[in-house]
Amino acid sequence: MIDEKTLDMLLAGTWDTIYMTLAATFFSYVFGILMGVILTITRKGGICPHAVVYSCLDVVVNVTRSFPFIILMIAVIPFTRFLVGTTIGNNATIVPLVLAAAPFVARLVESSLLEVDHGVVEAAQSMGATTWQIVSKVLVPEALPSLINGSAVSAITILGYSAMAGAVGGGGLGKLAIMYGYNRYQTDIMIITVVLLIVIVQVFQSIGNWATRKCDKRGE
Amino acid sequence: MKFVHALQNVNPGIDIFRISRAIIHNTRLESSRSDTLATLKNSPNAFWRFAFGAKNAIRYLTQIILYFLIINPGIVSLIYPMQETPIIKIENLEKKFKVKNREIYALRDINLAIGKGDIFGIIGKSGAGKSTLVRCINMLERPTAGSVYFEGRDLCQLSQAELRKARRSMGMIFQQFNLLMQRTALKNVCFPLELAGIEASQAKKRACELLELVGLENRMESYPSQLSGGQKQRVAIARALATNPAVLLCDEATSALDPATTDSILGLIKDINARFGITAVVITHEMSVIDKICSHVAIISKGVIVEQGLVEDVFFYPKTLAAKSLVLPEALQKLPQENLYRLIFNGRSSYEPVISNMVLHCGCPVNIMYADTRDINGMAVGQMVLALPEAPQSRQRILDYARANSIILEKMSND
Repeated sequence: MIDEKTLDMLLAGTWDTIYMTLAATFFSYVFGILMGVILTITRKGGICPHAVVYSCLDVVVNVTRSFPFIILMIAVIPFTRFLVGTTIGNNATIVPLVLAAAPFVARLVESSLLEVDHGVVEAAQSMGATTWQIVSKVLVPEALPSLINGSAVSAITILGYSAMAGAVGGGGLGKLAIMYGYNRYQTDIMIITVVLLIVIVQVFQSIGNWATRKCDKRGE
Repeated sequence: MKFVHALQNVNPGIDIFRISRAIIHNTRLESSRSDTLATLKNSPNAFWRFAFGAKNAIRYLTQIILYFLIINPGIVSLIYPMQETPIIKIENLEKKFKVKNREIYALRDINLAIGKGDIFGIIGKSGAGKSTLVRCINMLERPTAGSVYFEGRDLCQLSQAELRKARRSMGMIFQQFNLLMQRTALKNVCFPLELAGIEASQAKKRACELLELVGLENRMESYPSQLSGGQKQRVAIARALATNPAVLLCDEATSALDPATTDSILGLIKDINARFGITAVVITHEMSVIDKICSHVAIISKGVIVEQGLVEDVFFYPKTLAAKSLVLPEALQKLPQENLYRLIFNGRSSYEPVISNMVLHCGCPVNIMYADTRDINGMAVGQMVLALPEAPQSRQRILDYARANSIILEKMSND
């Protein structure tokens, strides 16, 4: 039913999707953790409250998150061109993916860090911990299971976004689904790509669950 | 000599007193010398008589100076109060919170002095401000006014870096233990040492010692979720002691534990206090905690310290309503108070049938309304609330009997 060429195409698409998703997840976490930590510690009642920083970042995150991804992707084309040199292909897709996902990740990180018992933070303060020590030795390690769980959720969300990138010249399974499945009415390709996406989501979620369980020492 | 004796009479009771007497006797009772001195004293020669007088005067003076400087420096510190400063001194502390444009005082006009090596209890109902108070001691809560002196320095005036350093001299344990859930017991105890920048191998060695001290040498690699409440609090105590603090702040440290575990944790705190001389500040809402381990107590009610002093004193003579309701059950205070008298048993009277003797001697009955026995710092003390007869003569007879036999029997009052 599927010839070798189609199979190669599907394999390449799968790889592209995984590559884009993982790379974008990685970079969104680089920025997202930073923003999430700042949101957590500068909020009222945090370990170093700062109303101005908090409200600015809060607004930025909210604004970026309200953009529909497809609009954001087009809006940042000049920025993408500046950064990557082109606006099509996998690497070009990663830029808007990171821009869209980082604020989302920031919120996830924030909510994970807020789950950490305030008493533990207080204990660290009573031992003379600096703000940085509290972040690096208390907040992040204590929230690690929740952060890992969140990263699986983020990766899956980014995977969904990456499929949309097909519409504006991005690669991956999304592009295949649109080009072959939608534009050329090849329903079989459409179904295969969807199934592949489902499998990838399952795998991401399972890895996330497994890693969360593995590092959670809070007991059964 | 008379003067020295007079001084001793002013200051009875301590071992130092015996030492001073020994020294004085040694100098006085060298018989051969005193024979010589006697001959000099009675010598017809005016010069020798003067010399004897001068010699004696110098000796007495030396003894008096010695007495002040070496034997009883307590008196010196009365004259020069900068010595023997308390390790924690709180002056006019105030903490208010702003809630919806309204200011609420959590603490007001707090003055406390906590001596080195004391176990100082702060007791109050929930919401009285005791947790806020202990958090003001290590600046987890910033007081809105007043000062907190720790080892002579005002913590409110310190920079962030200096404050962090000072905090390492104050360990703190909590009701909910507040251990790091993702670290083993050993790593939890290492944590404050890591913060202080101590090398990992050294930190581990110290952490092992401390876990042994608290009796958890076989649970070092356990995570907090695998430990019982008492064991978690032991880890927390080991962690609080890691940086060799001078003070241990205990915020309701036993309130989440069952009675038997509470006793063992209190025993551990007392043991640590005795072995390392660490001052402990114990926040609690249970009088039994105060009875068991505290030397001093402050009673806090609605953000104000209403009474403070030695635990025995507060127990024997509670002045305020707050203190009385800690010492006696509240139901008792709802009874009409005219005939109610409180009888206190301490060491001596515990061995005598005090009530029986009193009833037999006075020939009138008393009604026992309440009785209990407590263990205050290892001393068994009891109290009984008696309803005395209505008839004034009978009542007076009992009161006279009590006075004559130095039985502490005092009228209850409701103010």
